[in-house]
Amino acid sequence: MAGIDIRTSRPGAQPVDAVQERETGGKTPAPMAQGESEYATGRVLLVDVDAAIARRLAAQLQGRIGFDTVSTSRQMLAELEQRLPRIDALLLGVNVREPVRVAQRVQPLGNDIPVLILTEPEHHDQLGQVLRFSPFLGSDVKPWPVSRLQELPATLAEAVMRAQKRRSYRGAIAASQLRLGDIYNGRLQITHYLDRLLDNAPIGILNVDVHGVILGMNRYAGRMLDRAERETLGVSLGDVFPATEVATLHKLVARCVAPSKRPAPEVIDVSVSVGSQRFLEVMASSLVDRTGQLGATLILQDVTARICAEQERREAEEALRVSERRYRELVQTMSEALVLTDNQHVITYVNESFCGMFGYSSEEAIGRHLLEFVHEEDKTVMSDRMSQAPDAGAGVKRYETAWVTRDGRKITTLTSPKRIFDPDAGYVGCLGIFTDITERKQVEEREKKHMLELAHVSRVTTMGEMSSQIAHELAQPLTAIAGLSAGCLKLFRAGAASPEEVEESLSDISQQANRARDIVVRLRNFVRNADVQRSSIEMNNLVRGVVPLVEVEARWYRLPVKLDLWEPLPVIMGDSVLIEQVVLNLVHNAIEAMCAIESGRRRLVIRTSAPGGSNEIRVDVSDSGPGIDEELKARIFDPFFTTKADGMGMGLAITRSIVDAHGGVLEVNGCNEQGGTTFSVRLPVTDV
Amino acid sequence: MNDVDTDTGQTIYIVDDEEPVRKALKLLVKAEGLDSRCFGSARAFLDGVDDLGPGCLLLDVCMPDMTGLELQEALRERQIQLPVIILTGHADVPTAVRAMKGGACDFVEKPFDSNELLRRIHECLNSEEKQRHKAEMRRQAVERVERLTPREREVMDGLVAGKRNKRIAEELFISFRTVELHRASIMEKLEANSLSDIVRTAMWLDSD
Repeated sequence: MAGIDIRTSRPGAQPVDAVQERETGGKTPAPMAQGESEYATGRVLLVDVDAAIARRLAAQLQGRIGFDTVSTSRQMLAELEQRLPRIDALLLGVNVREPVRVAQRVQPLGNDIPVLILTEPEHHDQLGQVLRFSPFLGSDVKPWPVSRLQELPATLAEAVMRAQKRRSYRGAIAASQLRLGDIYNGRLQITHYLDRLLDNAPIGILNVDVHGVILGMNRYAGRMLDRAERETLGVSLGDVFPATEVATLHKLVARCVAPSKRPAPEVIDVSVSVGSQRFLEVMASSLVDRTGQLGATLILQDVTARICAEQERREAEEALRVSERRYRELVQTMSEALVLTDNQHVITYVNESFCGMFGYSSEEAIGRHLLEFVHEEDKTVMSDRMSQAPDAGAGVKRYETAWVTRDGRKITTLTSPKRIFDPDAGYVGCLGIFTDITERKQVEEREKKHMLELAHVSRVTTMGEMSSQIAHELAQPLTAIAGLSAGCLKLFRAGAASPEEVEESLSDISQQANRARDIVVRLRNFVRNADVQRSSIEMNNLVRGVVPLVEVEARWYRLPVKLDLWEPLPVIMGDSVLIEQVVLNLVHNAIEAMCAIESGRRRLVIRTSAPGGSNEIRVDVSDSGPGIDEELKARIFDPFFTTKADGMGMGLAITRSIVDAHGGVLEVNGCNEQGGTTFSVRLPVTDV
Repeated sequence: MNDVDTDTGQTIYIVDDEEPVRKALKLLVKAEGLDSRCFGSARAFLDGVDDLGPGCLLLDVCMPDMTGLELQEALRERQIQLPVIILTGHADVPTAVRAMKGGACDFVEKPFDSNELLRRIHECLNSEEKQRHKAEMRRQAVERVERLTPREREVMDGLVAGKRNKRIAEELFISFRTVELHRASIMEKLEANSLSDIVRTAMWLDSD
């Protein structure tokens, strides 16, 4: 634009400008600035070029090429170092010494800068020759004879164009080379990273071709399959995986090679091939190798833990399901009725047996209060029990409860209520299991009645057996009464009766009458056939009451009855007649056992005691008879077993059933300290 | 008092272990005007058995230590001829048989009718007296017969057999006169006043 662009304003070109000014001597380069501005993109450095030539060039190439001028080769080099690559060509003046050396030094700074060396025509060929054989020269160094100055501008312009073109090519190449280099390096890095990642990643990678031949695998895959990579290369899948799983793997490969479907992972079991339980999840993705052949990458993941956990969970779930089903079946089909209530005793669940037992459907039963089903006679007891504070520590108790069914029948159940406690919510309700014991109860009642009847029969029998002794016992007071009264009467009639004598006799008569009455009353009580009447029994009194009955017999057999009574003895509950019968039977047996032995050795001891605190009392009846051997001992309580010629064999059986009915125990020691037998009755002390 | 036995010196011995019974029997017997002695056991009775007078024993069977039957046995062993009335509270057949075999003269069940018992007591006492008389007569007869010489005894046998003196003399090859002498001697020795006395003595002798 501004003619030849002599760079004067740039600070870095100061020495050049100074040289310029010095050489141009204040001559303005203005004419050079004129001309075609559209080509002024090139820049030529003139080194010690004759000013006339410079001007001519500037004039001819105005607007196309700008010129800088330096006078020495040293300045030229400095300028080159700073302005490269903006210098498009060099023109060395005729006077520049050793132009070849200069050109050589230009080469490393910008080997593509065209260099024209002005020369005298006579030196032109010689210089050309030298240049041709000189090393370290760029390809574009030419000599130019001053004789051909008129062609110089065009040549110079061409050189500039050439240099610029060359530079632009080189830039493109360099840029593309740079880009290529980046890509290359990046790819290397990614591959390396991937390899490392894959080797260390906790997934196994296995590349196979379409036929299932292994092309490669990562370290983790090797570890998973318990194989070294070397062994597996080129080997078929069937040699690495268990035979049972190969089909699955082939299917996977086939599916991903023909990728019509989204590949779904499969789990295979390689436990057989690795020797311990191991499950792998395999996912296949298609692989195109360099030859374009299709294969697959198998991605293996060790899911042993998951599978095992799943299996465990499945098993646990199955077990839970089974147990739940079992419980449900159990609850539904159990013969006992089962009822669940909330903490207000409102029914929340009943099982089939409940419906069968009570006649209500479960819909009818649920939502009603449990008390509605209780029989009148047990309502109070039940509501009392319900109102008791729930106690988490209390065990299951069993109650007998009477209920009313839908059709009004009374049924009796054995009920075991269990209060249910939730760790968070506390007392949440009640679980009741009812066993229908109506029949059992009836049987029990019948048995009890039978027992009572039998006991009665036994008592009557005992009395029959003892009748002669009893008659004797009664005869004594009657004899006395008869004798006394007759004597008195006689004396009185004879007028010989003294008042003292009569009074004494009457008193004796009255005493003896009382004695007779006592015996009769006791007998009548003993043989009366009554229901069980529970009352409190003072055992020592009872024993003392039995003694007169047995003493008759004892006296008959001339054996002493010794009482060893523990005082004070806790009071028990029971039927006094039955308990009396027990004692009487045992004493009766004891006396009979001693019939055979000589009278001097006969000993009968009735001992009461309360061993082990006040939970039970004990009555021991000991004789000094021959004792009972073990074989006999096992059978003596059997009904109809007897050792007596005229015995019924019911005495001990009945005795035992009476003791049982009182919740007690009847035991026998076949060889006591006197060599005889001791029967022991233990009866529980119950609260009144 | 219709009591004919009061002066016979007989005593009722009562053996029973029960005091009320003893008392009753004692009173009853006393009201009847009889003497009585009571014993609480068979043993006590046996201890005082030596100075017993005539009478009868009321014996209870069922007693501790020693039963009535055993006491009866012991009395027989000691040859004490005391009639026994067995008293029993229960009259079973074996006891009764044993008692009667043991020589009991009666067997009474308790409780008894007082008059009945007294009647039996009297019967027993009477029979005891008769028995005592019989025994006395026999003892006398034996004693008297022992005074006779063997020849006198032979003559007596002939007389008792109802033979005449002549027949006796012929059978014994002695004279009629000798027979008469023997007969007089026999009459004297047997303290007999007539032939019938001799015969009675011989009868006592033969009785058991």
